[in-house]
Amino acid sequence: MAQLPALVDGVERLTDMMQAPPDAFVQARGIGKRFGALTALRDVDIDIRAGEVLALLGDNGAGKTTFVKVLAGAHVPSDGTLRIGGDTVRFASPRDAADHGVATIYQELALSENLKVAENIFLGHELVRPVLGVPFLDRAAMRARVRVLLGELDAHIPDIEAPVGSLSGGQRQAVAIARALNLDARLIIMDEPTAALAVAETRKVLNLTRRLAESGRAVVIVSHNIADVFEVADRMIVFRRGRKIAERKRAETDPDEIVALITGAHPDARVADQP
Amino acid sequence: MDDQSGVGRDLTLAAACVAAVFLFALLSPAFGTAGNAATVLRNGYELWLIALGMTLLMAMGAIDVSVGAVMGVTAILTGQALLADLPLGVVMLVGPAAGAMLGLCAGAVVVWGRIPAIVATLGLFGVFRMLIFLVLGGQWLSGLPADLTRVVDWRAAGVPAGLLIVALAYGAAWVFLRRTTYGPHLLAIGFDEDRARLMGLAVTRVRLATFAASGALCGLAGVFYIAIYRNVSMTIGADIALEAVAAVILGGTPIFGGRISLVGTVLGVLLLRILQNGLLLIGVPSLWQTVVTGALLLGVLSAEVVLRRARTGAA
Amino acid sequence: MTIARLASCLSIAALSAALPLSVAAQDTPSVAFVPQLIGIPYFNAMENGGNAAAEDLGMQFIYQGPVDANPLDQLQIVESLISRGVDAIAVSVLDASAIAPLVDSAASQDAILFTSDSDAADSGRPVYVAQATDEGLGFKLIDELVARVGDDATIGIVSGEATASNLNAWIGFMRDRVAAEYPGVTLLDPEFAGGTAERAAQLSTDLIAAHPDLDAIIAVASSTCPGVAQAIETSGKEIMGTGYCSPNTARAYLKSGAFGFTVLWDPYQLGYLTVWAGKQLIDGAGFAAENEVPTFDAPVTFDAETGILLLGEPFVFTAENVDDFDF
Repeated sequence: MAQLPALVDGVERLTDMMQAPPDAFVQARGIGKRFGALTALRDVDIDIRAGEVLALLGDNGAGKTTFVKVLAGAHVPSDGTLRIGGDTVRFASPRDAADHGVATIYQELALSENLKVAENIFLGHELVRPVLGVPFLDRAAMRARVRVLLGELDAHIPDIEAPVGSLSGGQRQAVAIARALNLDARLIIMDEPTAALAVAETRKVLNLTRRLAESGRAVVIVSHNIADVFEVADRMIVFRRGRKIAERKRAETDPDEIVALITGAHPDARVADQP
Repeated sequence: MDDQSGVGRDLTLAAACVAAVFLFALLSPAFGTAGNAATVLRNGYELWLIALGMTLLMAMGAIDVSVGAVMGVTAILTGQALLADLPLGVVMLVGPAAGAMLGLCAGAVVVWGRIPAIVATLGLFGVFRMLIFLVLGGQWLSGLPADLTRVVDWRAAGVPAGLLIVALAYGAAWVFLRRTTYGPHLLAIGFDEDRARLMGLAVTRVRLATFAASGALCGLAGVFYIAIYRNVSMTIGADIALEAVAAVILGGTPIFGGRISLVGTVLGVLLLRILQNGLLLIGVPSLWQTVVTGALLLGVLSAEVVLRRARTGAA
Repeated sequence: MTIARLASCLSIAALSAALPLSVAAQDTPSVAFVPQLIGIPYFNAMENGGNAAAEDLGMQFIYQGPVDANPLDQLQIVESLISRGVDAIAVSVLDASAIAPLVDSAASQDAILFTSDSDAADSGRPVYVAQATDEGLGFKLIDELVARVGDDATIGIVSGEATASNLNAWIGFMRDRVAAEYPGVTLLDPEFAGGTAERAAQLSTDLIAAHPDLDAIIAVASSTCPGVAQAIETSGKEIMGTGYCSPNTARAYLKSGAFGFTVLWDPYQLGYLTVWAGKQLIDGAGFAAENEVPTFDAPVTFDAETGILLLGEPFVFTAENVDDFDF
């Protein structure tokens, strides 16, 4: 009896894969990551499609953050292949990933808090007018672009000359998202975007996240907050002990099942518990 | 980059300089003369240049304690270029070029050796000192011609060329920091190197370039050293790294990086030199000068801690 | 200073490791000389004299010292020489108060510790090889200077490390001489430049500014001579520089007129005498009131009461005779 749901799930996955449009923006196959003797990630297959919000869930150390770092170019995978926009890629640095349209907004680590709003949005991708090879900043153009970006996000930041460290959590998320938009990112990864935010700010960030997907971008969020995930995600993938153990569409699951998967109470979770 | 606390620090330092000038002028008739003012500025040239490089490094969260030895090596090369009768333009470029290479060495050890900057440059300090010893062979390089001295002391509309060169160096640094991508990249690295890398910055390139720039400034300081003292001994630059770090910290660039104040460094060096000169002129024995400088540094740092506590307490 | 200290500790460790550890095993008696710092011409000349004496007398000569004038480094070097079994060790003392325990610890390990060039009088050392008496040097410099700038002069002093006992002793006798013989002379308090030439120049410039009536500056430490001379040249004032400066260091300034004269002795001979004294101690031969030393023209006097072996009268170097010397 216990095998039945697993079997059903397996068949579903198979049909899902067959039905998956061939143009899934990201196709990760057999991704593994070892740190010395420790296996942080094992044989993970994931598709990420444009226009949808995909949530990655799992307990601490389940592997979701490691997977995100592989996508972001911060970790080089030990096994597997990554195809992005049809090209097989091998990122050596976050810059490589950014060049392929992948932008990552790390929780607490997204911005340089000592710098101004505009400086953060453009950091590493400044608009410049080279004079004798020296990259002079085109500050007027950047200020104009910042206003457009923040307007697009409907974000209210009274003083764009202020250091980011003086902004609220929600404002910082808006700046980080503006940065991703400015980089013309087609995949935006958000690590715990609503952690430590007040209710009203959480609402805003979730709206922003939906809007990003509706504009045709692929969005991945990593979150512990099940309610937020159910509000914003189209699809959910649960990690456990370095493996992907379940993939659900929002319409076909409920918070109880997801929590059971995360905590290991769900039968599907036992896949990961085998040695 | 110029948040309120930075500007506040600049004002405090400027006020301290002015107060010191008034106090010393009151206590010693010899202090408030144009000649003595020129002396104070002239004594600051090398320290200003070296402290400028140190400011960039410290804003980046690094430090270079080998700067005095780099100045020594480049001063020797400059002196020998002078003795070899090379054209003066070439003589003045030898030091900065060699300094940039030595700085690049330090940067390479720090970046690729993954050794903390203070440890790596401490080791290089010993190496460079040994280099000075080997080159000098235990002799002084003395009695050098005064060609460079004339360049540095030449006056345009009453302003010595040496001071103009120092001002130009600071002006160029200001332009790079405020008007090019270098400034935000440097400060992002100083704030959090890993985060800067995650944000896609070419961290290694910026770090190497900054060490090289600091080295070139030490090399320029070596040129000034030859111009002003016209001799080189084994002990050249033994204390200047600590003086530079003190001036930078006084100026408000924190030792852990992420913030920078060029104006603060200019004023920090000025204050140190005014104190050294003024204390002697009013008859305080030179032994006490280091005590005063040390006390000043501790005073400023602890005042900062108290103020910050008061501010966060009030908020 | 801390940085220099750490770096020099590293280099001391490297030097000690590089030198042969088998000194004790060799038959030739060994004498070491530890200068205040290596790399200045003065101590190089002593090293050359020591080498010559070692060759003449059939000894092994070891020369080792700190890279800056750091008392702690010097003590470590002396300790390492004792434990390596060197028979006799001469020290140009940086910190007199720290030498006494080492004299005892040397004796307990069959080594003899004595002083040369700079003394630690109360340390129990068997002999001090003196370049000249401190009194002779202090008096000579003041006498020569007053003869040139007049007996109502204002005179500044720039010294090196404030802990160098020889420098302080000379300054003391300068003061005594002025107090006793030249009541019209104003001798200012000494300024201490440490080991760096740039600081000596800055201090001298400040001294000139502070005392518009300054007639002369005395560079007490050899490391301060170029700085003092440079400051005088830059000031363009009629100030006479002088000091205890070697001919090589002072040559350019003696000829330019920034320095009127300098007072010193021949460190080559002092190095020679140091190794000779070391041999006498190792042989247990002791010293007579007057001693014949190979290559020396005049007999060398020994004062049994103070334990001072005296090289001779201080020498006055001027623009005329400076080219006869090379150290």
